[in-house]
Amino acid sequence: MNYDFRVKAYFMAFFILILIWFVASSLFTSPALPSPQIVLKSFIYSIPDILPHLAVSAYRVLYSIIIALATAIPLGLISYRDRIDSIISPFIYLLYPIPHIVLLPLIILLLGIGDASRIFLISMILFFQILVTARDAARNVSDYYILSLRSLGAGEWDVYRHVIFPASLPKILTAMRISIGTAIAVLFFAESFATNQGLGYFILDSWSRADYNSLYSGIITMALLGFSLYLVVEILERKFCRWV
Amino acid sequence: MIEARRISKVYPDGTQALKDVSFKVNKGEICSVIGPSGCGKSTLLLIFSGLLDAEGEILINGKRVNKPQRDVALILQDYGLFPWKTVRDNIAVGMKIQNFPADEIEKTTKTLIKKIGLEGFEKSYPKQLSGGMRQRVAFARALALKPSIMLMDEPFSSLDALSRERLQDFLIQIWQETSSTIVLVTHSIEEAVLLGKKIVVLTERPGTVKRIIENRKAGRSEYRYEEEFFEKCREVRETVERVIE
Repeated sequence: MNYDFRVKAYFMAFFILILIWFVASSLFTSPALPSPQIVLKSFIYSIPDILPHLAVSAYRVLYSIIIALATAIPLGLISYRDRIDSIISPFIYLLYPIPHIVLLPLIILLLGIGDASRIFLISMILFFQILVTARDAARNVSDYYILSLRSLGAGEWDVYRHVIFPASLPKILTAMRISIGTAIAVLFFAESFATNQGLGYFILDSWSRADYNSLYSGIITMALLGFSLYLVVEILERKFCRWV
Repeated sequence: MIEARRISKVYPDGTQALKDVSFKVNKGEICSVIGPSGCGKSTLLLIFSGLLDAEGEILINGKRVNKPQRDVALILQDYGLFPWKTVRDNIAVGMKIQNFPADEIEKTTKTLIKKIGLEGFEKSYPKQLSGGMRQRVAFARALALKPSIMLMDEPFSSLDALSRERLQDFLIQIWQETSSTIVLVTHSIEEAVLLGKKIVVLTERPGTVKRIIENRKAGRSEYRYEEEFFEKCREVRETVERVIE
């Protein structure tokens, strides 16, 4: 598939979605479903209002992603050793199936109502998603590659650097891609209480004021935030996983 | 020089792969190891390379081996290349691990890529190469560390006949240039005879040494066309077949 065609296909999909929206809005004629051009106009007008909220939300979600990656990837990768896996695995299997989002009240009791609680909640949820994938990926690396590297005199660190990490990277990036959807969803939830900053707050506030134009602007901004994170992962994949 | 003294290997699941294997490979000699599949040939190479523990003793240049040696290169079946590394990085990885200075890595890699005729493929990944090219990259990676001993596990088994002959000649050339000691595991009788001055025939599992056949004329490309080559092949074939019965 050539690159030009793919770019065209993306634009095509975008316009079809806008068209469906347009048709739906003219059918429903409800203030809760304004037409795309009205939303676009109000979105452009509300950019100055939204930017500070976007900045706060981006900070919260990026921070959470970084914390989750920095803890989950190393822990998942060292699980390639049976000894370590036999210690870590039971924890994963006991803790992963719990719906972590219900721990919110406890987190607030312990960490207060500031950003720490929100970041902790998001990163905890991502942590498990990435940990489970990184662990499975590391455990599936064939001994063949490890033997091949060891025959060159590799130590433990070399095995991680040259085999376990690069071999697991495509799966980790896939997990990141899935996690971004989760991260944005949890971000919305985490910004729905005890704050007056962030896109989640902006959306809920517009909703309660029945200001549908702002509501849509908030939704679009949140979608764009998710979309740009998604693009970052896509770029990382292109750069580091060309071999797949 | 490599010496195996009464090597036995029982895997944790109870299968005995090797039993009392003893033989000696002189310095600068190519030794072929041949036997039915599952006779522990690959296991033997892993033991030689110090990656696998076993009963008995392996002596390399008179010293006991129990961990990978800098001086010993191992080429695994299906080349052992890393799919996530480019040709250049695959060749350089051994030197990187051994902390060679960057400019030396650069220089050696360049020379080797030229030697194996893969200029222009430095940034290609293994999956973009043909089997023969991958095999040459695997050779280059092994040669980068200037080993005095090379262990090869069925290096040409997945190549077509033509590439196979070309790479056998390439191996002979490498051997003549570096005068390294080579142990080559193969299931091809012709290959064992063409390359091995000494041919070790193993029995079915658990592998034991059935016979060691001397093959003085080996290690030359022209040998393929000589009368003695065919006779040797017949001799080896008879021995191997007796092994299977």
